[in-house]
Amino acid sequence: MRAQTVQCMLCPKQCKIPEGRSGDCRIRINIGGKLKAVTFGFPVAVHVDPVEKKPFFHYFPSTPILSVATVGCNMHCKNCQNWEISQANPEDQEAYDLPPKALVQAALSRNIPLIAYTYTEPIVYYEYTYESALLGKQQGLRSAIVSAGYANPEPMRALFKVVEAATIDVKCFDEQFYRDICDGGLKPVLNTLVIAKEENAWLEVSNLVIPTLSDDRQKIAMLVRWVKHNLGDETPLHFLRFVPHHKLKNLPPTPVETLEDAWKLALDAGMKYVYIGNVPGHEAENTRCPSCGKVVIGRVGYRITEMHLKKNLCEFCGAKIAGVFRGAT
Amino acid sequence: MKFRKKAQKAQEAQRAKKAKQTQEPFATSRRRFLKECTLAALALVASQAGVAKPEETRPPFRIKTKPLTAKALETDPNLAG
Repeated sequence: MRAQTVQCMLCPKQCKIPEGRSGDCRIRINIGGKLKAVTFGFPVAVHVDPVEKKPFFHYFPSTPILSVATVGCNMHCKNCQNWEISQANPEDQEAYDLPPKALVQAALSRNIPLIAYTYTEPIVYYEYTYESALLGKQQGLRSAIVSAGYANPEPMRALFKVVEAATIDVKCFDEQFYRDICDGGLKPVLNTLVIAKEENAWLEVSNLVIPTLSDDRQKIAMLVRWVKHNLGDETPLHFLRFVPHHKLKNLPPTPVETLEDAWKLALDAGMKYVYIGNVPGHEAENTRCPSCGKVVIGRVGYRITEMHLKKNLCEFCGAKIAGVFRGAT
Repeated sequence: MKFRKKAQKAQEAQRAKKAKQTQEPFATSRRRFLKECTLAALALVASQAGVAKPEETRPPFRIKTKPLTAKALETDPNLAG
């Protein structure tokens, strides 16, 4: 490799970056022959969200989570809802000066027990995610990521030593969809899911169902089968409703019937916790006990309406509900 | 014609004599030469110092920052995740 050109090994794109230029993610820049994640300590979005918004349905339900993101993403999904920050250059957006220590302090001072690295792609601002999660862990905070999972195995394995939960968005069980719509690939995402499981991270899987592009019943069935076989039937699976955004404004929102079809398909396949997202008030937002069938966590949107758990046990029949719950860890 | 040539010669002789009179002494011209050399050397050193750019100490761009307010911390329903 030519002098002053560096290669980033974080994600499968493995960008070769000349001096003064950035990788495909826009934030990992070659400065003087050294690769630097320039958004380290500079998140552009910092919000206190309900944990259900990530979505996490089996990870400390009804708990606030401090959610942060810097600009940048290693994929370029045509449907990205957060494209204004995910596809921005670091110098184009105003950011908060919040290095790891200040971020952890911001959570502690507000009695928020969880931090999420979310909104854009926490893998591209890896160093910030890792250092903040490590510091948080040392001070009793728990960290989670919401990611597309398009990364190389080694950094992901290291990350799951400090991050204990993840919602990974599987865009579609189809390599061509990943290439054409997302500028990414499916295989590395599946590897990330397996690594998360191996590292004992709490894992939930989401899938945005886009009309005409990722609503194929066969592809959904393949995803369900893969999740059940590789991650287990207790892995929560969220089918999310698409709302027109970014470069796919020509498409309609996902019909609720399509989502219901996917939901039933997954339940029939034996998945125990299947949800429909972005349809507030739908029955499929609730968690039912797989043993007695009663609602153990009732939800409307991101709001918890009822909770019938004793630690991690169903209040009605005593069956164990998979997840990480308060008092049960 | 003869007279004009004679006058011309006399004029040239006078001019040469005047030039000889106004010529600087050797010491003066040497001093000036050395001074010019010194100035040229200094200019060269200065220009070479200018060629080597000072090392850049910050990234080629600056991240603009904003204060973190209580309002900013509120949930943004437009952001997914």
